[in-house]
Amino acid sequence: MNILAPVRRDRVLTELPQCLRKEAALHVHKGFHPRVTCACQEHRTGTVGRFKISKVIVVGDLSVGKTCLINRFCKDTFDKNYKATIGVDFEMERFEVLGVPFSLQLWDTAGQERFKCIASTYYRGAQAIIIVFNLNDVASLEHTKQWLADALKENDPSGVLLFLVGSKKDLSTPAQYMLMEKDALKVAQEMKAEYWAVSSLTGENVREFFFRVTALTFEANVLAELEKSGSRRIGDVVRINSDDSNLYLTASKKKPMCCP
Amino acid sequence: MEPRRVGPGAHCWGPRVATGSGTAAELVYHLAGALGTELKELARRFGPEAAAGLVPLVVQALELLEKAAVGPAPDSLQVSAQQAELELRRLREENERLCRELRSGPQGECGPAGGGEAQGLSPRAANENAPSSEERAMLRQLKEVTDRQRDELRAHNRDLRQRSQETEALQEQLQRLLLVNAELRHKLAAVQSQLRAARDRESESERRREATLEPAPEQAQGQAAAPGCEQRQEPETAAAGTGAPGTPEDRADALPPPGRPPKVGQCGFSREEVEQILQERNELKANVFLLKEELAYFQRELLTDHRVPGLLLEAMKVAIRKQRKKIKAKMLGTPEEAESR
Repeated sequence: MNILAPVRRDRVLTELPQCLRKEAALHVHKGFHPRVTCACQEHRTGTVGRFKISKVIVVGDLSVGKTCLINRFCKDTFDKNYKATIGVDFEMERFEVLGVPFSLQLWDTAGQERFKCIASTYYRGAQAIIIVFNLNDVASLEHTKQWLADALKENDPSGVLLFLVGSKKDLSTPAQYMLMEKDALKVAQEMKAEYWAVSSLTGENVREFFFRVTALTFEANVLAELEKSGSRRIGDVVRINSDDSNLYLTASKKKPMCCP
Repeated sequence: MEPRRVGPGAHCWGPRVATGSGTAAELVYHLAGALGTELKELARRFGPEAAAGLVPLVVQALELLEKAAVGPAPDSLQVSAQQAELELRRLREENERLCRELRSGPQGECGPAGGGEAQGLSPRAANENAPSSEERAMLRQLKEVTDRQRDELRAHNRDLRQRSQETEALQEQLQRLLLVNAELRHKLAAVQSQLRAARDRESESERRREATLEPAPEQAQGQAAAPGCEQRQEPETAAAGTGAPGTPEDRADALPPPGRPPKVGQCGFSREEVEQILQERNELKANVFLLKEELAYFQRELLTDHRVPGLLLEAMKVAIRKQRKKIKAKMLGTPEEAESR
């Protein structure tokens, strides 16, 4: 049984969104891993098939636009006024990937130094880390390495997906952007992160970016699940679960047919 | 007799003088004239016989002299030259006339339609020469006009080309200026954002300094809003804190001893307090999320318009409560139900 209503139609992913730059991408395959596609078709996604929440943390210097980025994607709003995040905040975003419900919990952390000790307690258990910097502020790009190091202290570096995101793209000219991108790509390659450039003001690349995060996190989750269960009958529990909901669904579907 | 002799001689010489054979010939004739008067005087004084023997001799001598002075007598060569000259003049005239006729001929032929063939050459030429000359004048005029217009057109063309070039140059300049403008705007925006960031940083450090010296009135509020049952116990203080923020007495009460060294993380609240507040906020947010989803779920059920039997509803509610607990634990990262992750 699932108390969650169907996901919004614009949160349904049927194919793998592509990376922004091939030079700095987590992988450049055209589609999902074949085993993932197969598992999804056969409803063998294990715990991912149930209410799976992936934790994503967003870190970076203060006022680079972490909150704005999340608000643009989750609420489709943009507030020009700067309002510092106190400690941490989060947003839930529900998706359906290859027919499987999947949720992201986006943890928005404070960039201010004084909240760092509080925010860092929320770093643990992240499956993806989004490090944001301002495309118009070189210093913020330089600080991303420190942010990554801090975030990785609380996490297993091998099991986490990294994204390096340049924000406020609307404020840089193409020439300035090209210069910044060169540096950013280098940093992204060094930290093995996928590079993105977005504008929360105009919305450029915001949706594409979060869809990419969702898809890659989902893929990694399902692969890990398949790995973990190994030869065991994967999805036995899920099957019961899905049968449950199927039973309910068929019942609810048949009812109106019986008494029109 | 003498005058006849001399006469014919003089008469014969006339044309020769006209041919202009030079001064020697004139001298000879002059001499002949003078000899003639002398012989006449001799014959008058001494009778005609006195000079009779002399005259033929003198005439013979004079003729010889004349021959020597004038050169050969008018011969066939000179005559033929004269004739040729005459012929030439005649031919030239004719040629001129023919030329005139020829020039006026083609114009005249289309003029008088079916004009009499029997008409003479000269009247016809005269007939057509007048209008053709008029036409020629008109043609010349027309040609002048067209030439002038062509020249004017060319000048206009040139002018137009020049102007279009100028326009192009101006447009290019405009484009360049627009680019420069856009770039400047971008730079301005970037600088403004940097300024804003710097200002924020500044004000933040300012706030931090202030906070260490003088805890904000929110502290009272924060304590009142702390999670747990205390919140319920003191709703009045919370209301007072929010209703009248920052009454000077409150602030004075909460003031820490001045001159305390500023500490990082000391922001009016203690770190534990902030963590508590956040934890509570997260719980509330998780609840809101779950309630929203639940609401959407029941709304959907209502919309599909079917009644759930009471027993099933009860079971459903229990299941939902269980699931809600699980989801909430996942969202908040609390250890309970960790096995479902």
